[in-house]
Amino acid sequence: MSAAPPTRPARHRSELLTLLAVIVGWFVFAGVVTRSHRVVLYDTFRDMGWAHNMLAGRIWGDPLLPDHPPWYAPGSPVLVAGLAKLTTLSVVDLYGHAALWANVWLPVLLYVIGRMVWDRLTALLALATVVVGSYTWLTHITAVIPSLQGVALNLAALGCWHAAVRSTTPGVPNRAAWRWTTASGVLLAVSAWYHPLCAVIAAGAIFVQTVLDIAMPGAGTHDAAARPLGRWAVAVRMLVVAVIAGVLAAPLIARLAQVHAPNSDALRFFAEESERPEYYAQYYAPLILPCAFVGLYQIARRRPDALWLAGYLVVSLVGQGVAFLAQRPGWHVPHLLVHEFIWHGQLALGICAAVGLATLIPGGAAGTRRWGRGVVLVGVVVGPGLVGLPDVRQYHVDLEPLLAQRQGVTNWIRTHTTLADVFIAPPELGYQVVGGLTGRKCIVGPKLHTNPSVDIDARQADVARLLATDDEAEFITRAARYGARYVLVDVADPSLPPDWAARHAAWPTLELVYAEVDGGARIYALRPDAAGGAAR
Amino acid sequence: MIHARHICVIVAVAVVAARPWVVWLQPPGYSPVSYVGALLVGVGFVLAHACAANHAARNRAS
Repeated sequence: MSAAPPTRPARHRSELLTLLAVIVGWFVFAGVVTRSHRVVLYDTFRDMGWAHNMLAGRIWGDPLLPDHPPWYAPGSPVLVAGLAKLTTLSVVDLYGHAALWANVWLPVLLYVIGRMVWDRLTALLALATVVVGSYTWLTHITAVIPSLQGVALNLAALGCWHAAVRSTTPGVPNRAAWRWTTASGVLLAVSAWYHPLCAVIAAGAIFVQTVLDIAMPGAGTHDAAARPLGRWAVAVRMLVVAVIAGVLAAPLIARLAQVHAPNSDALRFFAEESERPEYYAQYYAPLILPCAFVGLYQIARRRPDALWLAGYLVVSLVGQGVAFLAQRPGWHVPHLLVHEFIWHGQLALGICAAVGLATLIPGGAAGTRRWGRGVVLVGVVVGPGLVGLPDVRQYHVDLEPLLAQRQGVTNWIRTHTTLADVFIAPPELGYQVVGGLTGRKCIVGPKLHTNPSVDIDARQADVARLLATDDEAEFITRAARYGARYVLVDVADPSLPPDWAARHAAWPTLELVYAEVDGGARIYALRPDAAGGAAR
Repeated sequence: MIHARHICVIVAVAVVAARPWVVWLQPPGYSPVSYVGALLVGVGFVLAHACAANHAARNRAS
């Protein structure tokens, strides 16, 4: 006598419990990795500064440079500023703990996608094949940066797309097909507002699947009753998604098209470690690759509605290939951020590998699986990836020591200045403390995190000269160009002369308004009268 | 008879077998470009075989 199949509410309960376990597992993992500290990445200070400004109603402006329009997608700061408004938590606290509450969507949606593409076992395996099977993912999954968090939005958009395409398959109820299509378009646009390159890759995946569907249809997917639009059913849905996403993301696209970038280093940035096989290849867990090929084959044969995964992989690989080519002498091809293509590609490889593993785990009688062999197989394929575990924190910036060290400075800045006030500060100090922790303005930040529409080299040279000159008149003239009102320096900074404070003590232009008790930070106000109006 | 899935497995095993030689030893001419290129060829190969198998299955059904 066989057991009765679980009822629908029981299945739903079981799914919810599994999802809850994934969420709890994530909180444990992320809690251990971050040691429950407030942890960000270097890039996060850029978004943190914007969130401070948004919270005060300064929504559409560069968070670091005064009087410049934004150059980055606003999704992450909008989210954090909105939550700060709703919860009264601080921007710094929300970003500091975002690895927990924002990055949790990555494993959750990875599970959901695995569930949609294949089955629950695949969904659980995908968590291991993606996160452990890829060193890049293992070292980045707690990264508080829009380019990685945006992957969750991609998965959401592609999940809706998957449901929309599935509704064109014979035998599948065609309910809510257009609602899924619309949701996919909306989420694709949200992904673009969060991080444009994410949306580009997701859109490319949808396009490749559409081409594959037209050119090489899967077995039996052109049933006339199920697909009244015939072989163009998927293409029509793609067009609807493209129109919705295009309209909703149009203001962002228009803005980004206007960014004149004499300094395009930020766009063409090539992370040096990307050329190391630990990052670009499944270096520690190479058996992920054959499993991914098996999974890809199974998807193309049995679930052609999930062929967007093949598209995602192809687009990511092409993006990587072009960027790697551009590093070779004589190859002056335009390219974008290779490290991001790498993690998108390894995401697709990992999901395909989960499908492959699920189909390779030997089955026994009456549809049961031989779990002992399955565990061994998964251990052999994924287990070696754990070698990368000691490196999970390598990109983290622990905010706790920075906040403790700069508490007095940030309190003074928040209390005595406005968001529009401009500081003369070394780029690193300005970017992290003035911009990131307080949302105030600077003359310039680090090269890769400053609005590319300004001449960053010239501004950095100006700041260096402002901090080096002994000529007060020259200082006043240069400061006036940027409307600077304050100077923030750390006199313990080895790039400054050791007698910097003594040399400036007699300047009537500068008034010492704050001095760190236990550290070297000093804030000087520029006296408007002494500066001849320079500060205004 | 060699089935498409067998060919996929053979290609996959070949990729893995070759991997230590190309990644760990990094012979002259090896680069991430060749790795990515090999993956793209592998993906194309698998997709082409799966689609051919789909086509054959559809023809048999009709």
